[in-house]
Parts: sequence; C-alpha cells; structure tokens
Amino acid sequence: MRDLTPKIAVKLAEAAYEIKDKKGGHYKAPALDLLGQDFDFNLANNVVQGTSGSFMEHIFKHKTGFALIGTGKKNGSYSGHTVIALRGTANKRDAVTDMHCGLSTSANNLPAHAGFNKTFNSIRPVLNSYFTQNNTGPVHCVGHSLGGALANLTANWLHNKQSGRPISLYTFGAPRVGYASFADKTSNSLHRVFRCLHTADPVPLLPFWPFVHTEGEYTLNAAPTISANAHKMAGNAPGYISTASAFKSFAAVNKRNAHWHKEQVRLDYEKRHQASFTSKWAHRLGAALITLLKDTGYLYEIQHMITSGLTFYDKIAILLTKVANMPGKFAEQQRGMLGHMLVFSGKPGVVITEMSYKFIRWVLSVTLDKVALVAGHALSMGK
Amino acid sequence: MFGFFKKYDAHLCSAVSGLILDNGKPVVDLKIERLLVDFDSKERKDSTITDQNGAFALPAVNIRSRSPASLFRELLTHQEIYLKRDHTSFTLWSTTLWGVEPIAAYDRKLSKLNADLKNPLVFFQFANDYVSHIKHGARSICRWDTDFEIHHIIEDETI
Repeated sequence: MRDLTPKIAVKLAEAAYEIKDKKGGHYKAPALDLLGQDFDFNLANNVVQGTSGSFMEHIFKHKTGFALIGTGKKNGSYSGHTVIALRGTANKRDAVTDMHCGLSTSANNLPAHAGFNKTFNSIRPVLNSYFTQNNTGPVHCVGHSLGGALANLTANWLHNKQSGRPISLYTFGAPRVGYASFADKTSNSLHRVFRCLHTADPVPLLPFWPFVHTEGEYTLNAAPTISANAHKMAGNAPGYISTASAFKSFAAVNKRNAHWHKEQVRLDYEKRHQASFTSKWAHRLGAALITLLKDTGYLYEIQHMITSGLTFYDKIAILLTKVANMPGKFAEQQRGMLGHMLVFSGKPGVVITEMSYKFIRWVLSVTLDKVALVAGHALSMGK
Repeated sequence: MFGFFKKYDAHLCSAVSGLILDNGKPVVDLKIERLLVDFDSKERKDSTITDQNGAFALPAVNIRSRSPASLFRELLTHQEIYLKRDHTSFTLWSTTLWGVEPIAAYDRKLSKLNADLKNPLVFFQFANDYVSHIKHGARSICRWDTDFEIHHIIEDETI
C-alpha cells in the first residue's frame, strides 16, 4: 500500500486548520488546491464539526470544523484511499482541553487522555456515519499538535471498527495520548505510524510520563534546545510545513527508536552541570526517574496507581521522600537525578543538602513546569 | 492557568490596491469587498468603490489582540477580496495568512490586484522569501507580471 509523502501529509494537516470556520457561508482551504491532483474533497459534505472546551461550550453546542475527509482520485496514485485530516488547537476554546490530564477509556478499550477523548467523542458520531458508508480501502489519518492526538484516536477507533482495513497514522508535533499499553496497541494495530517531530518541540514531551509515545520517531529537524516556535506549522523556525515538505518520502527522514523510558539512567550529582534544557535531557530525566523507581522497587506500585497528572507526581514525591531515607546508594542516585533536574530547570545555583518531601516536590514541580511553561501552560503543582 | 491575555499586535491583511477592467475598459463605481476571518473566528468586513479609472485601495488591517497566544494555537487569518457584478462573484484574492506578522510577499501581490473580469479564476503560486522550497498560493482572477505561476484554473469555485 502506498504511503502518503511527508509533503502531502503536512499539506493535509495544514488544510485541517483552514476549515475551522466558514467564510461567507462556505468552507475554504487554499492548501487543498495543491492536493487536488491526488484527492477529491467535497467541503460542503466532508467537513466534520466538533465541540471542544468547557462545560458551557458543550451546553451551547458551539461547533467548529475539526476534520476534513478526502478520497483518492480515480485512476490516480491513491485511488481507493481515504484521507482524514484533523485540526489542532486554533481556537481559544480548544486550549482548555489541552491540559486535562485525566484518563478515560478510549476507542481501543484502553485508557487515553480524557481531554483528547472528549474532543474525539464530539466528532465520533459523524465519523461513524461516514465510515459506515465508506468502509473499504486504506485510510490515512493525519494531524498536527492536538490534531495529531485526534488522528491517533481516530485511527485506533477505526481499526477497532473495521480491523481488516489498512490504517496509517501521520502526526506532526503531537502530544502523547496514552500510557505504554495504549502506545503499544497503537503500533501493533495500525499499518504504519509516521510520528514526526522537531527535536526542539516541547509538545511531544507532553503530557509527562507515564504517558508514552509509539516507538518509532521521525526527526524532521534536530535542533536540540526546547523552544515554543519549534511547534509551529508555518514559518522557518523551523516550521513543520517547511521541514516536512523538504523530504520526498518518509524513508528519507531520520527514524529512530524513541522508547527512552526503557533505558536505564543513573546520574552522578557531581556531573549535574552536563544537563541542559533539551528534549534529550527531558527524556534522560524521565528515564532516570523510572530507573530510580525500578531500582528501589517502587515502579510497580506507582504504575498501578489509579491517578494521573499532578496527583501522580505528588505520589512520586512521597515515594522519593522514602528513598531519601533508604540505606545504601539510592539516596545518592536520587540526589544525582534531582541535581540534574535543577540544572535542566535553569536553577544550577540550588545546592541539595536535604531531601525533604517539600523540597523533592518543589524540584519535580519546577522541572515539569519548565517544559509546560514553554508550551504555554503552568501546571501549578508547586505551592 | 492562562497568563496570556496580554495585548499584542496582530496583522490581518496588507494594504491593498489595484485596478479592475472589463475586457480592457475600466470598471467604474464598483464595490470591492474584503472579508477577513481571524483566529478568533471573528469576521471583519470593509469595502471601497472603484474610481473613474477602475482603481481602488484598502488600508492594511492590524489589530490589538487579547486572544491567548498559547503554543497550542496556530494563528491564521483567512483573506478574501472580491466583487459582485450581475449576481456573479469575482475573486480577487483568496488565501490564508499564517501567523500575525506581515509577509512581504503578500504585500507585493496585494499592492497590485490588477484584474480583467474576463480572466479565468486560477490557483497560482508565488515565492516564499524565507523558505525557497515551499511557495505561497492563492486564488485570483488578477494577473502579475513577475513571480506568478499559474498552478491550475479553478472550474468550480465551491470545491
């Protein structure tokens, strides 16, 4: 089965933003003018509307365009294929959903991010009626940012509904959607997963572990220092439209195994100044935390707690307070990790003398906030 | 949770000027309309009238926005400039502006919206000053002497 090219995939992600609002009574998406050679889009019928955001939004049923569906042109390269592109957050209402870090059962029967599920559920009835009628041929699900998370849920849902169909997923700068079991099921169920990112983009670092990505990662740009601009579609800093369009095929993109949370990382306090505000160190610090919890026998306990988000890290702070009082090397390993976290967070001047609950919780908080704030959201775990 | 209600400048459209002809003759006293749909789904409309030479102009549109500038938002504005004559709509410009900064390449095109109503509507591409391997694109019945590549003729504007 033919895959989409990076250029076509990113153009679809771009078009998904353009169908948010009607203009003069019609949907218009200039990005589709370039995709018209390969696909037919009927914007009058195939724009899927959804609701996102607050309780009040749901009451008033304010709807905006969330997804557009196209079909491969007859006798063209993608004849018989369906493409669905989903929009990320381009509306102030949508931003509200982004940091709801709870879990709810998703379409593949495994828990996933409750906010993403809620938005997906608002468009699911329309998707259901479309795909019930159009139930053959390969499907390519595409999206940037929150749109990537929705594309992921769409692909999983469709696989559950029509498991015989080859379904591929293409995401750009997408956040994590679920825990390891969800990510593994996604990889195993789908035909291909092209999870693309810029190394400097903070959004793929969110939500934090125990949220996990699918394993393969396509690096479109490898500049290391985390920066908000690296999440953007447009522009040249570096801009997903620009970087993805430069590749003729996904085979040409640097692909790597990104299951960093399976790596063993133990950090030496004296070497803490090697840490930097990069995604590499965000991953290493996550891995160091998991390694420490594993070494001290707490990993099983933490992974089986029915909590998530901030409460989850609060529980971790309680466990780490116990580690601080353990005999042997574990307290030193923990000091190494916390020291690196402080340097990562831009607080190299803080010297660790005692590891109280209050102090540990504060270090975790400033570390998580450092990434979350670049993404535009304070987590407000501290206090 | 949101600390992003600081005001900032947002550019929605370049200054526009152009000339409308019909089969080579100036079209006088014709209303030229502009519709901008910004990132808050807000519609802004303004218009002008062509003079005795068929010429018209509209000012640049810049706003002070309080809209949250979070990373999770892509700020884009849909730009539509058109005229209606005998119940037929003619598109002088239809595209999306990504971001809230002026784009010089857009300024150059919008300062020369010269059209003959007999021209077919096309999707065309023009150079991106910052990223050479991707081009800007728009729909228009206008024609430019430089940096203007017709991609295809639009047969049915509703698609």
